[in-house]
Amino acid sequence: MSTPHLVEGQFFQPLSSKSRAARLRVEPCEEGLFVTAILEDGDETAPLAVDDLQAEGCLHFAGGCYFKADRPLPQEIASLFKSRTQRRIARLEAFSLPKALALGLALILCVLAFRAAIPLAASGIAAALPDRLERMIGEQAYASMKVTGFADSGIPPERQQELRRRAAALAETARLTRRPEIFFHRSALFGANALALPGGPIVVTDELVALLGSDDAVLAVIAHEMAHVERRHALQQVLNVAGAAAMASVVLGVDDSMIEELSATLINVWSFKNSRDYEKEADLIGLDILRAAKLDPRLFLTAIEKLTLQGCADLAGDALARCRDKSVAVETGWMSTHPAAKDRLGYLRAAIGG
Amino acid sequence: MSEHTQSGPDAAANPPAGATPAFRAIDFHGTGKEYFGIWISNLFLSIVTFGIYSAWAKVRRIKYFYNNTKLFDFPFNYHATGKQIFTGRLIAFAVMVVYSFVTAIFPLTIIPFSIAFMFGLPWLINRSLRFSARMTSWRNVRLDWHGTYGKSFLFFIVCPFVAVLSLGTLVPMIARYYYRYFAEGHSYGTTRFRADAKVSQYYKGFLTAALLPVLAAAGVALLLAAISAKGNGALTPAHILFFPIFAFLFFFQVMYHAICRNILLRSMTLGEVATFDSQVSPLKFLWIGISNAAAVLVSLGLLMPWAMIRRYRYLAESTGVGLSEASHEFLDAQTQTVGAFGQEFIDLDGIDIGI
Repeated sequence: MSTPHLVEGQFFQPLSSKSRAARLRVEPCEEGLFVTAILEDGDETAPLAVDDLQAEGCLHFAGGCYFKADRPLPQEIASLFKSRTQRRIARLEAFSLPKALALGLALILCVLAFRAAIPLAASGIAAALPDRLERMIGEQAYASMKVTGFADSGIPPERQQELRRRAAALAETARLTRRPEIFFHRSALFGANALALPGGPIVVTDELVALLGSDDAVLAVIAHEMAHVERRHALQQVLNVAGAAAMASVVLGVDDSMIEELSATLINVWSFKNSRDYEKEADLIGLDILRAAKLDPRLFLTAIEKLTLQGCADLAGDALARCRDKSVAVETGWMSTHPAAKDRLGYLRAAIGG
Repeated sequence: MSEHTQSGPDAAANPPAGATPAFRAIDFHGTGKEYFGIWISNLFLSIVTFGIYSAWAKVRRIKYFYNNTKLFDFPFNYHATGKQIFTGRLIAFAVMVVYSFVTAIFPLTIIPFSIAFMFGLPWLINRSLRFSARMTSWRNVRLDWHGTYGKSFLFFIVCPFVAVLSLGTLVPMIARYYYRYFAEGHSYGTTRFRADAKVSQYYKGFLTAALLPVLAAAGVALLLAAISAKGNGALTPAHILFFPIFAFLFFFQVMYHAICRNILLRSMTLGEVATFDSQVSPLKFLWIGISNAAAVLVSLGLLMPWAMIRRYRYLAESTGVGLSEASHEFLDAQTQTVGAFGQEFIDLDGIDIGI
């Protein structure tokens, strides 16, 4: 046995706040550590098993005894009560500027790695999930939205049926693996819009049909929505957000409201970026679907222009010109779910070649 | 600085027996620099372990704050382990995943889930408060929580509705009973805390806390109205109404919280031997909150450790404890261990409990 360390302090019996002056005897031995407390009257306790060292001088023992050293324990004694992992973490925690910079850099790299890894993982998980499950989610979401956001369509049933027939032909010629149902609804909530729910169905609003005017233009938008369903974008988006939220909550913690707000904002920014990527992909696949069906891809370009300019519909003269210039010149923002008009019209024109 | 006596390393550890208690400020020895090392290490290890380490990081963070908080030269200790937190977090996370999954497929199930959540929440809050109390000790004696399901249901489920329905007029009354419940539900070992502040004190505090925010909200409204009058069309009446209301609620909430804390602690006793005091200045507390948020924002989060230490230190220095009987022996009771599920579920759900 080596020379024992003696530490002055106060000793507490289990479940009591009453202390007695004592000396702690710490002696490294073959089994690890031999620890006893020598009380002020000379009595010595039975060997004590250390549970935890806190505040560099507070030792909690199995069974509830407690010893508080009068001064912080010297490093060589404190380290005896720490595991190898605890010692390594303590070294990492000791502040130094180079270490802080290195850790900061490593953190940024990790975040960037996750930024790339989560969409990949989402895509992989989405591919592994059965179609039936995705369709069930979409159908249930549609049932809820029918109650809250959609009213019966005013489009004649024959026209609806014809659009459905032509949409099915589009899917057939483009050899799509998923054939979503198409529904028409009036919606003050969504306005001129079309939505692809997980696994289908696709919902087209009466307001959109009225804005676009021709059935060919409506089909161009349906082709875009079919591309979302084909690539399972809605499901991937749900998985992306869930992955980012889970990661943010465990990494940043949720016990500080400021951090919580920050993490919610980051998750939104993160998911909006994915959303814009999915929109662009659906735009380009939509063009291929139209080409396969021998429809003019410029129909989609025209539809996007009309949607972009719909806010200017009630204006005239200089006000209309200013509104058009402003709407088309908008650049992509961090908080946009769709690509900005300027980018979108730009890449669509480039893809169409006109 | 607070008005309490600061205890240094040479100060006597205990006041003389039977004397009128001399208030001693709670000492806090943590520093921003020291905590920065822990904070960034926690963040790094949590990320590289895909979040698993975050449970141990939470324990490390709480231990840092507790261990550096001293009362009569004795630090507070924290006894939860990373494994306990991790297990609680896993169960809470699994429950949330099942909930999200089922409600995504069957949206109508949100109704039974909400009812179950409403009736389960008081139980979860009690578990959370109990866990948090049992994991905290000072001088080898742990805190405990004795709240009942019925009272927690009343304060956390019923009272928020009553407060809204009364248009805020019953908030001070509710605050009085809530803070009293929070204090008297806790014990140090087997000795219960008592708190007997009057309702009139909470009403007076309510009016004090509302005065400045009303002026601030009026100022914001006037500013917005002036901007709107210039006619650039960017501001609607909704903006002019929303921002002052937001400013009022934010200022009021922070200041009333500080005032209620003062009222509660000044009326609180522990058995016959300990009394408490709190001298938090609502304006200074508000300033610390606003300037901390600005510093964290400007530094892209890097000043977060400094901000946390600054706020914690101010609260500690503004809090005093008086012990009239140095030799009094507090006893603890052997109780069953409670799991961390309640606390982690409450945390995951973003519910804030405490004073």
